[in-house]
Amino acid sequence: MTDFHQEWKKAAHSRRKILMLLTVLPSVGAAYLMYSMMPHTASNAIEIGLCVLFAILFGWISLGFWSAVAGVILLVRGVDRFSPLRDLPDDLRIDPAAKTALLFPVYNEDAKNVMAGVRAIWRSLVATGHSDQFDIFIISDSTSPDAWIAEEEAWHLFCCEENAFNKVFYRRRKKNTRRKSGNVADFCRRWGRLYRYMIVFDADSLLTGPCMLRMVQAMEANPRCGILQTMPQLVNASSLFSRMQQFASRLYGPVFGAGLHFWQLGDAQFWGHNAIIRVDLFMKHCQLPILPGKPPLGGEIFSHDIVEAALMCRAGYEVWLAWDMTGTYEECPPSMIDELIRARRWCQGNLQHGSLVFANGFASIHRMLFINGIMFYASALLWLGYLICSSAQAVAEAFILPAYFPDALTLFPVWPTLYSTWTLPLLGCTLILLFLPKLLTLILVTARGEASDFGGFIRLVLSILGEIILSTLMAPVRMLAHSTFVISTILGWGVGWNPQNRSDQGTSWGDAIRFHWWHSLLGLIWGWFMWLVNPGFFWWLSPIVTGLVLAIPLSVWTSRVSWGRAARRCGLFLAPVELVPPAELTVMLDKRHSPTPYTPFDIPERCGFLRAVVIPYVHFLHLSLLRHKRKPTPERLARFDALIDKALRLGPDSLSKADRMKILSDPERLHELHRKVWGLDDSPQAMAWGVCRTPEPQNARTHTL
Amino acid sequence: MLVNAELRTDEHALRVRDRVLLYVRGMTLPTPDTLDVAAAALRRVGPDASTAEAMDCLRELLTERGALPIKPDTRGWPLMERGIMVAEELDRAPWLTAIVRFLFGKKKSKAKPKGTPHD
Repeated sequence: MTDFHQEWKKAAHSRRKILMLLTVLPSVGAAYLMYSMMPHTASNAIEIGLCVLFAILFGWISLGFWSAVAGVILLVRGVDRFSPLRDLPDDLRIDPAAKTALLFPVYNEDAKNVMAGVRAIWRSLVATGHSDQFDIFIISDSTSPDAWIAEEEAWHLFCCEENAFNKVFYRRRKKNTRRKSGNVADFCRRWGRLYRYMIVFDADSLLTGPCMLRMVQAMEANPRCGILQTMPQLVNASSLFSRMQQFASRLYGPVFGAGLHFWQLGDAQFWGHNAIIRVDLFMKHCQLPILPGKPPLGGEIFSHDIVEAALMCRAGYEVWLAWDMTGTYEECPPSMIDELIRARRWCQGNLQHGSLVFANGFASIHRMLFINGIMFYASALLWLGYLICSSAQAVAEAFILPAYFPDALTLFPVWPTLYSTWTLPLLGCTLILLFLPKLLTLILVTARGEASDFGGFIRLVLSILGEIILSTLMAPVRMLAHSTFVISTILGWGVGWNPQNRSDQGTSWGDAIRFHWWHSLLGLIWGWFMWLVNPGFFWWLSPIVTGLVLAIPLSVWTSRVSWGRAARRCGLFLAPVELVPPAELTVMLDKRHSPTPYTPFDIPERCGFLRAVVIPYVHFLHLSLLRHKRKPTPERLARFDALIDKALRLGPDSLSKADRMKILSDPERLHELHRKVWGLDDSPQAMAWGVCRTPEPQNARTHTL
Repeated sequence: MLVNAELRTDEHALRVRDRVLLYVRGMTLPTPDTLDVAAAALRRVGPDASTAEAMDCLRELLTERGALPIKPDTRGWPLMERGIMVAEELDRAPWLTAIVRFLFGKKKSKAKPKGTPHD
């Protein structure tokens, strides 16, 4: 082992011990205080439950607190001897043999948006002068026939316009085995050996050329590094919800990133995108196992990234977080409902890690990260349990008479006493854990003269207060939603991999009611009941009740782009990336909103199947990209013929998604359909296929004049 | 030379013409070529041809002139260099394995654990 490796291992070991002490000891102390406060000194189930849950939750928020404190210390010091970018010269020469593949796994995304991001990245790479060392792969798992054709068209148009053939490749997998991780593994098995590194993107990720070069340089300088993860900044937020997230990510992100790096060092996490990976190590050590049992807790691993990082470290290599790397961006869900849909998937993936916590070979830190990932969602259930216990105790205090002589043999009564003087210090400690990091961040940003990046000191403070208010109101909804996810996953109700809504269309009132009606109903009943039974406790519960009751309007209003713009006009939730957007972001957005190229056909881009059947250019492009298919059996041919007849008689809408995929996958049948559609007389059937505007009348053949 | 001898109002013929023109407009040929081949196809089939006949004739002409099948520049993938990616052995309950080994007296295997083949 090298000196540096030993040095950081030793430092990590000490730092993590300190973190454990800082988390466990105060949690035990807080739990003891809580126990001392209890009227019946935790002698009944409710009070025991409260103490235990409080201890766990206190410890959980302590972890975040101490990470933030460590991050602030690191940022104030300004020097990080363990940074993966330390001592890295700007002009470090990259080995010409070190080729890097940029992977864009796509699954039924909007092809135009994806290629807009690819174009921005490509141009940024070309501007660095090192584009010859990078290749781009659009690796599609799309199951929608329309998305498939749209991707092919978008890729081909891009390559023609940017002269990027032989540099930008497109591949669609027939079978979506193991989802995104399987998609990347498929790339590795086919072309992985051609590349030393690969950078994985999400559909909404963006990395600048200089950032990618820096990542390659960092990997070249550290041969033990298997994965280098960057901390992407959120960008392109329009709705109030996403702007608030973007603001918070920019403000608090560096502090928490530095804090995470402080504890994790070379045993960091991998988040699945905006990271560079050493391909040969990844292929050798990071293939995921299949978990025994059935989904959702068994089967394919959903949250593959954390496991891949753990496997990499298990093999003796390092995973680092480049928390201070600039030029790395991603977008965020535009509304609360979209965020919760994403969280549902992640919850299932994180709970699966429960069966890996005790697996052999993993570093302790990665076992803790598995537990951390589980707690990210399970803590919501624990918090809900704590609130239920608190409410139960409040009800018990109101209805159940104290037992002054619990022990029949005693002469003296036992007075249940609530030591309320401990309540305020305990509450104060909890509030400090929650809000001191925000205050420290504000002080740090102001002291470094960066307040102007957020619109000035006053606007920064108002934005922080606004973020606190909105987050406090949304927290109970998240709590209930995450609790539901955990319970439904444990009970075996899985979730498919549904593509996220990445556009800012806003949540309709109908969707908000469908999603949040029971949150609001629960809030109303809970609040009303506590008001009747124990008004004193009602005021403690009021922030929770308020958030739940307002769930529907909050979900709708925060999803609105108009509210986001209004906040921007008022100077709220400003982020540096809005005031001085990176050039790559501007290119990407321009391309997203660029007009559709001219075509004489009245077939929209989203109707990919129709375009592949009708438009000659699209048709032959698709045929040229199809791989050779075996000749079908006579029975299969007969079924195909029947399908084509049905399509010609009844139009494209008569075909199911599966039928369309079958036709698109068979070059000869597709070409036959293409030929026959063009041979149709002008009729309603021809209109349905888009090859004529109006049907021909029956006696259309008139005489010449 | 065009002669203004007959003004054709045969709607069917006009529709066939438009269909042929639409097809060639959907290709990537230069404009003069597209009009040329469309005109050649319409002349060849005559005014009373059905849509299917006109389209077949058009396709024949396009094939003769090498315009069909369209061969867009794809260069879809680089040459493959296949590798393997196999999951390493992962004992998810090593404490259980240790108990079982202890109870049944099984010796620890000193051989390198084999990966479990997946995919």
